[in-house]
Amino acid sequence: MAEKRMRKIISALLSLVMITGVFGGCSASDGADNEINIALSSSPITVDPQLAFDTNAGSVISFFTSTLYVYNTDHELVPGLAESCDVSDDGLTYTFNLKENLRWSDGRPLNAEDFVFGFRRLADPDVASNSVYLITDSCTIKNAIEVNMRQKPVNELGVSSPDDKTFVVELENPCPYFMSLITMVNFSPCNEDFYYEVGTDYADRAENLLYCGPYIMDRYEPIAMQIHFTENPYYYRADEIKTHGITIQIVQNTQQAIMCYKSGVVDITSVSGEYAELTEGDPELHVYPQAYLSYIDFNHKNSAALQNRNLRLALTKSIDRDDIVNNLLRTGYSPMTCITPPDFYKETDGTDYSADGSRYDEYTRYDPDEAGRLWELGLSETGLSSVKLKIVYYSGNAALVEALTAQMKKALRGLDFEFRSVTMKERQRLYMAGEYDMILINWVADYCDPTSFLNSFFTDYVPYGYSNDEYDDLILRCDSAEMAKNADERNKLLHKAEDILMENAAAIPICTMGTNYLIHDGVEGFCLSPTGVNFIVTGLSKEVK
Amino acid sequence: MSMKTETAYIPQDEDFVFAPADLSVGVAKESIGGVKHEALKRFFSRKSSVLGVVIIGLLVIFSIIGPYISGHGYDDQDLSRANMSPRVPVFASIGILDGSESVPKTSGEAVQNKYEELGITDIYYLFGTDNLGRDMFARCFMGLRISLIIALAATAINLLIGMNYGIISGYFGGITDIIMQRIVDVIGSIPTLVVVTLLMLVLQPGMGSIIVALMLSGWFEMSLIARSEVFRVKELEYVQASRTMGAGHFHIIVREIVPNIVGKLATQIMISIPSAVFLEAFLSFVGLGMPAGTCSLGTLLSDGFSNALLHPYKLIPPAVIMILLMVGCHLVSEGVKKATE
Amino acid sequence: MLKYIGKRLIISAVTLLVILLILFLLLQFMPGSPFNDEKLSPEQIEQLRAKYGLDQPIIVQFFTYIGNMFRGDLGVSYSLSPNTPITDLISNRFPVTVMIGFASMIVGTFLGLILGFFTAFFKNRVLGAIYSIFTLLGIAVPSYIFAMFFSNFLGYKANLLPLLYDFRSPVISSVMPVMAMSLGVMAVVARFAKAEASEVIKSDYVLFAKCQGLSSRTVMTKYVLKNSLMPVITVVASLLVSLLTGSLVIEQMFSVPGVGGLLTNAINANDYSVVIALSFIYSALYIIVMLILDILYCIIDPRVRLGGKN
Repeated sequence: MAEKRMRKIISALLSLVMITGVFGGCSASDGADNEINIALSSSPITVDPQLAFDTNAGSVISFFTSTLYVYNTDHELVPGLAESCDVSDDGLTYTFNLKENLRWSDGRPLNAEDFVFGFRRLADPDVASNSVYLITDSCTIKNAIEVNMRQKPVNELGVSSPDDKTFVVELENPCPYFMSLITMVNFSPCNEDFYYEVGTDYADRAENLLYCGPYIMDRYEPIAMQIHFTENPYYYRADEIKTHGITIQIVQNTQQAIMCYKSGVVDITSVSGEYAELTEGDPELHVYPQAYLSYIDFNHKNSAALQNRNLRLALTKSIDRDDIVNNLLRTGYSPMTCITPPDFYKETDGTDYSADGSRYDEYTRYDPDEAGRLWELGLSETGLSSVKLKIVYYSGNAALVEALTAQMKKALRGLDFEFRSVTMKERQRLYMAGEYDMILINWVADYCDPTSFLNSFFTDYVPYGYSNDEYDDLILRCDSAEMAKNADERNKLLHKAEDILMENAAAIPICTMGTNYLIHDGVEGFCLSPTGVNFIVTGLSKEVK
Repeated sequence: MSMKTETAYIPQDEDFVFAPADLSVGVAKESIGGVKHEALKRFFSRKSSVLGVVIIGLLVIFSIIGPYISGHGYDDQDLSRANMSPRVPVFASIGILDGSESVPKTSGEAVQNKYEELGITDIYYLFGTDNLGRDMFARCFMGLRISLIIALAATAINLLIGMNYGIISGYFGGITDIIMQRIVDVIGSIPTLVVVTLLMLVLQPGMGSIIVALMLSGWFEMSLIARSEVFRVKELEYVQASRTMGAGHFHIIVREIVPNIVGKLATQIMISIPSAVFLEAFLSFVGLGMPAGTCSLGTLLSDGFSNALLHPYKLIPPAVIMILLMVGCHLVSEGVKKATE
Repeated sequence: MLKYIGKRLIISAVTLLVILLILFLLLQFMPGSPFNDEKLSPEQIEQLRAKYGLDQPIIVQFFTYIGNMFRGDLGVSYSLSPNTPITDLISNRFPVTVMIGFASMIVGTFLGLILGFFTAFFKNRVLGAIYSIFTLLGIAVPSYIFAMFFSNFLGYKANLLPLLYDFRSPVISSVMPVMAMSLGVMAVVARFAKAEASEVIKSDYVLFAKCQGLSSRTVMTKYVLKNSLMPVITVVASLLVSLLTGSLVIEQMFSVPGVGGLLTNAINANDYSVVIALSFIYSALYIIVMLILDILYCIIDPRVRLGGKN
């Protein structure tokens, strides 16, 4: 009796195994069409375009949204949802003429009103977007600060739609890089009717969003591990879309992602720096320049030692960036001896603003002997015999910090460190609270202008950061109306400002980083925007073998 | 004092000649000494226990001398010598472990020997080097040392708190026990991992914090074991006898109860040391482990883990050391358990 | 019996309340706010704090918090996925974690029981060696090392199993995570099963049963298995909770959309409301599992009711 029952159970178990095997087999074998699978290392914190804040959100949202102006694959600014743009003589009023027959993904027309609502959401204190700095700081839209501080109602924000096809933005100050700025997904339109239909669940699920970009998101949940897109028939360049579906697979473990790539499960994968060695020499590895700077900021207010210029210079000159980049960070990284990275901003004659990487050699070139001499000089000036510095860093940067501090300690006598390894958010708290002597910052620019980096050193931008009146004055003059019209003159001011930072060793630039992607042969049309924040994916295609 | 029933009995002088406490202690001492001896004999008669002791002994010795015998400091960086695969003196001459490695790059396997490329074939890194060019041999044993210190400190504090708590709770019983057990219930209901993670978020990462976190999450297990053992032991004849003879609480606890629960606690100690090492490793994986400038088995494991595909030799030594530690502790705890049963 | 169960229920409820209080206090001690970010000004951070009611007095916050918890509202995520109710975040992920946790538990227990019982019953040399190797490995090797090994060899080199979890084929794609996690369970269960079974085999009633001339199979199933199963279940139940909490690294590795990954992300995003909510769920789960076990015990073994008074 017992035996029979046992046999029954076993056979039931066996059949269960078989059924699941069959199921597994079925579903694993689909995807033989031109669907493209992309592995990203972490999921976006939100897909609400106005709330988007981190690069992950930027890249995912750029699949399904579009902005007034966009970058094309050659990194030129071209009209997107707008047909053209007129800028007033004083550089304060931008009038966009929208394309004809623009539609949302459900077929309803996309009008200038939608842009007005989108921009207002960005400023709205009730929406509380983390990216509001784009319209209060990076550029200042009229009344944006007051609206955000609740001193004025939202509808007084300096945006308007005189008619369905015209959208007007008024600025407080001229902003030479405004067109570059508004390629960010935060400046997407948003349909007011739809927004209120959905209510608080807006952008929580795929069906709770309207799309105006090349693809429609049809599978999404917050902190999703898989996001799926299909083509958007209402997109204004729908004829250029070549793939029917795209899956974004979040793979936090880069080794796993590379294995997936090699076994053909994914077609495109991002490769974080530390795994670069694995992909070295691979013809399928693509490195996209990114407006990225890794630097050590000093506590300019609290630390007695770091008030001294010679000590700061000594620290700067004791780092062998080439050694670190070649042997530790490797592919995708390059050493930085200035603040503005190359391949980012252009002079008026089209040359690279930051082409001459050796222009600050005097202050930043690796020279342990000179560093040692400056260090001794600084010590005698400050009357210190030894210096202990607290260095704060994100735990993911531990290896870099260990290498940097070892080099500094080797070159400089009597120097010691206290390590504080923290999460990214915690690092930011310590940065703002001044609880550091040195802090490793990784900064990605939002728009193509050196001020995206230089603003960080403006007095009180960081509470315990660098402060220099002459520098502040230069940066303010860069934002003035006369400079907006004279790019050459403005660039000179920018260079001058950067000179001040480097001469005074306001911070230690370390390296810049490109983003590395492995892309299978046959997959075409994948590209990143010049800042590296957005994807340009309209023409993405995959050859079916 | 147990004199209430003897109403008809008149005490005589000789009744006071031997102090009752002394008598009981003498008996107990002898018996415990005998038990101890017996237990040790039984412990060492098992081959697996001896093996466990040898493994742990070797690991401890290496954690003391290991960082100094390779000729390279555990913290000496040389970026140009980063990621060198192991090269062992005798083996190198016959072509294995000679520092050459095959790197499975995505574009195909690449065979390389960094020792030959750099022209330093007379230098030997027994376990290879890490991504900053530091000697893995010295680092592994330094890491083992740190991890052992963390585990031992945490376990010692756990033992101190847990044992006392458990004994007091179990010995006095009644309302004391109920209150004390409710507290343990509450603390014990928060999973260890949650306690440790939350604490590490509140405290700054570092050796002290890790010890505190491990301690706060581990003491109550120790106390539960101590308590249940006390329950068992306190009803035994000789403890009862000791009590009847008028020994004080402190005396009974220290002289009668503690020696009798040592076996069970020793088993628990041997289990909690490796689990502390495990937890420390876990913290490193979540990014809450030891900060830069120091190393532990956890940081080495998590570094090696993220490099396993490329340079498996970075994962193998710390993993093997950790596994050996686990096996050793496990064998010893089994042995202790068997010997004291 | 009802009285005992009632008492256990009340104790569990009080324990939960105290845990809530502890978690809330911890929340107050957490460094920094979830809103720290490179590009936020102090005014904006204040604005965000006001939006989530974090500028209220602590007492007010505590009662709101308790009230919300009882209504099943775990609050909203501040920074991990701003404004998303935590229940939404968890509801889709919990089933996945529970599924994988249960699967690992069942597979591990099944294999462990077989290994443990057979070793105890047959006292065979080869079997003993297999037992020793498997239990030692299972206990000494962390599950993530197994996971690494499996994904490299079975997933990548042999291309037998999917490297990533896929919601379209949840069964086949969770084979590797389950394998990696069940080995530890197997080892623990095998050791327990062997120890218990050996005890039972040595006991008088089994001897008696044998003397009565019952076949060894009957003795095995009727006496040994039955009587040694209960202690094993206790171990397994406590393992389940640690399986659910301990799958963090495994989940991250195989991109499993479970709560473990959520916890790691929440820690990195300083999203304490999510961390605390998950802690609460884990604790509640543990308490519930223990409560069920106690009640089960009480039904099966009346001695517990009497002994439970101690």
